[in-house]
Amino acid sequence: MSHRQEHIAELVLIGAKDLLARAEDSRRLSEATVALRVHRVLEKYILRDDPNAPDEAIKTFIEGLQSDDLCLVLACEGGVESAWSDLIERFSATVRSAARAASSNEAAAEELAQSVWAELHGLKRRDDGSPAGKLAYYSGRGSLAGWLRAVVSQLAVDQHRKQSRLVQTEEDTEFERLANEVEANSSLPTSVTQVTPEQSVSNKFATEQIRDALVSAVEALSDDDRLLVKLYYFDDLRLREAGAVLGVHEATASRRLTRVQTELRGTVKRSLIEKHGWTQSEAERAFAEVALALESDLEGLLGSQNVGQESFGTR
Amino acid sequence: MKETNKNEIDLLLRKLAKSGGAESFGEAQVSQHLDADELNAYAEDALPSAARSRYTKHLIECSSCRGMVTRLALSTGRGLADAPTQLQHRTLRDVLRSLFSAGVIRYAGPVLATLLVLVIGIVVLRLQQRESDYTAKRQAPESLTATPQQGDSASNELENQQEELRATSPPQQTKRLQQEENSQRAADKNEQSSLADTAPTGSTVTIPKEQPESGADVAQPTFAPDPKPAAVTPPPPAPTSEGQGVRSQTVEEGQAAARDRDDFRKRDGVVTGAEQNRPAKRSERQLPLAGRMARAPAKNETAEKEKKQTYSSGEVRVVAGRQFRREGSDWVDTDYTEGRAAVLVRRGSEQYRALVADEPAIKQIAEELNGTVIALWKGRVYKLQ
Repeated sequence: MSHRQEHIAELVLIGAKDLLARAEDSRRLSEATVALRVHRVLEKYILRDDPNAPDEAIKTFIEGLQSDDLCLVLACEGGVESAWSDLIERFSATVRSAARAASSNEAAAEELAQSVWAELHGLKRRDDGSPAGKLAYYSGRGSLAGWLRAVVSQLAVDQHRKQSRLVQTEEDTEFERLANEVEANSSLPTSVTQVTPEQSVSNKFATEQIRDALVSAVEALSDDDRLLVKLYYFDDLRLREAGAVLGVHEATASRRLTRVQTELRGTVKRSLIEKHGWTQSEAERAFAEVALALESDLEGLLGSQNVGQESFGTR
Repeated sequence: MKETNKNEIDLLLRKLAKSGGAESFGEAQVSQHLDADELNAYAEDALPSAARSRYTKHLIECSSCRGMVTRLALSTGRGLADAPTQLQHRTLRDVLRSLFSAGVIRYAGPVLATLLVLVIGIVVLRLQQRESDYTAKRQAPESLTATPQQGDSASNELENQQEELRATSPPQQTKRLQQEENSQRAADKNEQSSLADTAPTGSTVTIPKEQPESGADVAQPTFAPDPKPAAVTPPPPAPTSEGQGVRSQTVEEGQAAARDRDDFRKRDGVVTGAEQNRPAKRSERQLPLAGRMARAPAKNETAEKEKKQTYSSGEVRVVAGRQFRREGSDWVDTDYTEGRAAVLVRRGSEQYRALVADEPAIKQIAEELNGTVIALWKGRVYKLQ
């Protein structure tokens, strides 16, 4: 073992002692048990990104672990019955609530909740004979309640995928029918297709130059800004919701989005001028035409999708 | 123009998103997803910055994990309640940064300096004006009624005369003193009735010394003399044995007069006895600025007392160890301070179910208290509707 590894092991052991001292109920866990889990978590969230992380960062990280939740989980993993009772008593409502949110009906929710408890306990056994439950993946970095909700959500998605595969053949037939209907309808003269500006929009928008410039501009944004663009435009979240994911307030998200839009405009314009030889006035005119044409196009589009209640940029 | 600029990009991005441009924007089929712990730690913003950045990259590409993180973040209400503090912090930082930027210092510096000079000038002018008004007010009654010092000297003369009289003929002197006392009472009455704002007279030197007892009240003019200087007329007790009872009475009166005189002097001779009886507001207005400022905390205390009384008279309930007071149709945690950001949770919503699942006490609060409830729980404020 290298000197660095020894030093980290020391820090982890001290951190484990502190964690046990911090916990309201340490559940008679040994320092070694806690240290083992803490070390694994440290590797995952700190040392993987920065193998030479300073001592202070390591200490702060360990201090940020949820001591009570982690002790409870470790005790459950160790097969302590009282710990299991506590876990079920404290979190059965959370699991049920998350299962209800992820299920279409009460029976499915109940089934999902039962599956979660089974997954937590672990139906299979590891090499050392201990149950291979999902609890082994809880790091203590977030709350146990939140982690359980995440477990329920993941399990629900998995179950949904399995069911989707089973009924795929039937659905394919249904999709084919729908596709035929859409095809038939598309030949009808609708108000959207009749409007000349919309055709113009499509043409303008289809031009690879503007599209490529915009794609490149988005890719050049910082990760946080790109995530905001994804959440707001692609996932159709409100600014408040996007802000919650990013950990910022709605107003901050709004300011950030405004800045991103301004940045994107500048980058796209520069790209059109520098890469494709557009003049300044051509770029300006293209933006104006696109805005004019897209506005009418999107009104129809958004109206048809019933999401047009809010004005642009202020969702 | 700026708004239009934003809208153009806004519209372009919307169009791309709707036309299935996800792949163009880095949306890819990822084989490995974040595990539950990573998703939850991201949603709860409990990750170190480097790890968070790594997972942000994944979330940009993976709509499935992004959706899950979104659901987790929204189910806990995280970021919605804590954010205002962050916002204030950031705003303050931004404001400070922008205040001390080179551009601001170059252009706004001189403007601020000019404004500062103007403000200081206005304040100084107002203070001087107030000072001069105050001096004028102070001098006006003095010139009209004789200054307190003049009053004192006149009363000293009177005291000497009374001393002489007391020494020579106590019964007569007693009678005179009683007459003076009566005239003084009459003067007070008239002062109270007429307030004598316009013409405070030199009462000290024009006190009628010879006046019939019966006509004392009637004989006083409506612009009655200022009672305060008149009150100084009782002489100090003479060291004679005769007229002991009268002397003891005059001693008390003298002490009372001295107290009045002290009060009079304390108020710089501006507030007369009649004015003391006027509504407190007026006398307060006439106090110097410092005096008014000194009285301000007392006022606040009174308001606080009234508020407390109102509060104690309101309906208060204790649920789940928290105390709530009724405010209209709402219940507000007594520890809640106005302006704190609250997480809005509607009863029956998914967020509500998730919350009460974690915090059964909130369920108890929501069920026992009707209407909107603002509850403080574990450092967070929840607005239950």
